[in-house]
Formats: sequence, C-alpha cells, structure tokens
Amino acid sequence: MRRHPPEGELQALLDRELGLLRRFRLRRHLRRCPYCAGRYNAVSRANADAARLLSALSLTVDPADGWARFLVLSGGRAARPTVPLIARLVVLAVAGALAVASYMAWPRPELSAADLRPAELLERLAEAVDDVVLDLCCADYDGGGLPDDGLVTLSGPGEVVKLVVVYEDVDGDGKFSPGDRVRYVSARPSIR
Amino acid sequence: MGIRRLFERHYPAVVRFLYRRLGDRDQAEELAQEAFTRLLNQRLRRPTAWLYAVAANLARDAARGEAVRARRLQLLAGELADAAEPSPEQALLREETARRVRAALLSLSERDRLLLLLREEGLSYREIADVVGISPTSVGPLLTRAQRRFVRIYHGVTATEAHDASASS
Repeated sequence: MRRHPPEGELQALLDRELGLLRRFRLRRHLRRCPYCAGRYNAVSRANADAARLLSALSLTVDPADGWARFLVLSGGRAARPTVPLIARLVVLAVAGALAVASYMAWPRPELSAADLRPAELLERLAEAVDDVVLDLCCADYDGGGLPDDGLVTLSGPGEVVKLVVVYEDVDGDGKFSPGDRVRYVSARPSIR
Repeated sequence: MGIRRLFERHYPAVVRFLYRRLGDRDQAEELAQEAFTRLLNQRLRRPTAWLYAVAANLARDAARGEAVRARRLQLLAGELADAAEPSPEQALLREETARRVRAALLSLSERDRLLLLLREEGLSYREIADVVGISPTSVGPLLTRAQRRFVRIYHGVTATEAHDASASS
C-alpha cells in the first residue's frame, strides 16, 4: 500500500467491516507508517469517546415484559407460529415428490390382445362421440420402407390426444378398417 | 427467523435507540412496539434494517409533534427539578452527563445522529446504509465525522455551561 488510507477505511477496520485481504494490507501499512498509526489511534479514541458518552443514555429493557405487551397489542397475531419460507418450500417439494411417485406407481391398464384387434378398436372409436377422430393414411410410420402405414388419433376437448393407433393398411383401402394390422396402440386409460 | 426470536434479539436495542433519540423511555417502548407490529405484516429478507428504518421514521414523526415537544419540555423541567434535589453525588453526575449527551445528540444532523446510534446498536455498515439511504462505502467516513462532531459538540456544551455557571456566580 503506497498511499495513506482514508479515515473512513480506518473506521471500517475498527468496525471489522473490511475483507480479509484489505484488513491484512491495512494492518501491515499501519505497522510501517507512524503517521497512519497515529491517525488510527485518533479514530479509535473518537470511537471510544462517543461510545462512552452514549453509554450515559443506556437503559435496561426486559424483552419478556415487552413481549407480553406486544402479544396484547398485536391481538395475538404475534403468537401464531410462522412457517419459514424454507420449511414451506420443503413441504412443497415433498408433496410434489409424493405426487410423482404415486403417479409412477399407479397401476396402468395392460394392453390386452383385444386392444390390438382393429375391430375392437374401431368399436371403441365409434363410442367416443364427443371426441375427434383423425385417420391419416398412408405413410411409412414403422420404418418398413413402404408408405402403407396409417395413424389414427382420438382427441378430446382442448385438443388433448387420448389415443394413438398406428396401423398397417393391409387391405389397401386408405383407412383404418377391420382387415388392417395394428402396429401400436397407446395405453391411455382415458378412453375407457 | 420467527417474530419472537426477532423480538427478543432486537427489541431492547430498538427501545434504546429510540430512547436515545427521544429521551423518553415510555415513548421509546411504545414506538418500538409499533415498529414490531408493522413488522408482522411484512415478509422481509433483511428485517433488521427495515425495523430500524421504521423506528427512525416513527421517532422523527414523534419528535415533530407539538404535543410531544411540550411533553419533552415537561420531562426536561422534571429532570432539572430532580437534579436540584439533594441526591448522591454520583447519581447527580450521571443525570447531568445524560442531559448533556442528549443535548449534544440533538444538535447533530439527523443523518449523523442515525449513524451514531445505529452503529452503537451493532448494525453492520450495510444495514446502516439501508436505513440512512447512503452507500455502504460512505458509512465509514461519515461515521468518523459524526463521532468527531458529537464529541466536539458535547465538550462545547459542557464548556459553555461551565462558562455560564462561573459567569452567573
């Protein structure tokens, strides 16, 4: 440190408000510079004088007595337990984890052989009168190299897709029909 | 931190801070209670600075009130009357010192007074800066000057009073 530190910095040193490195440098400077050591002592004396004077205005306060009056003044609100933010976040996180875990553990309906029969699926699609059925045919959805695959979707309100069926248009009629082969059925229980 | 812990930790210091500003213990306790009541409606990251800022505002408003001023004059008259009564020498000296310290504090600017009193209650520079409305780096230099002024004014008050006393006798 080449320059003499400003007085505010000496005050901050006294008040332990400086970082470790700054404190170290300043102390080293004070050891080497009698001028600044004198300034530091003067600041220190002013601090001690002010503290001594203010101690003439000190008083003893009983927090228990104050708390009792505060409870009355706040109408009991102060006595209510407050849940800290971190505790609320932990509760939320645990609740979220439980919800995910229970969703994952919920038994899903297994696909039965009937689900893979086009006739069965068509029957179910016909029952869903309030939903929208789209049948897109044909493209190569299964990677077999031929554009002979169709895609049926069943969507509810809000364009929520409830069911997806990928089929192979075996009979070549360009739509999902009893003679086709089902390649994939999404297992969404909402259609049931 | 819960309100109870905050209260236990800061209530005595806030009362002392207000007492030093207003010179009236009952009023200091009343205003400290008011500051904590207001704190109940807040969700704060740094409640200490907020608490002292509210206490300082309440003290400023209270000091402005005409009724309070009259009450303080009454108290001061009471103090002077008490001082005139025969009492142990040490107690008398203490009362006299307290009166002069309060007079010196009142002669300071609002900012200097706040800096002194907040530091005395152990607030960090950052908290003091929040309450006073200055940058934390300004606290050190301003605090040094405030302390010097305070001590100088106190000694000035004492010297003036000593001079007046010798002139009247």
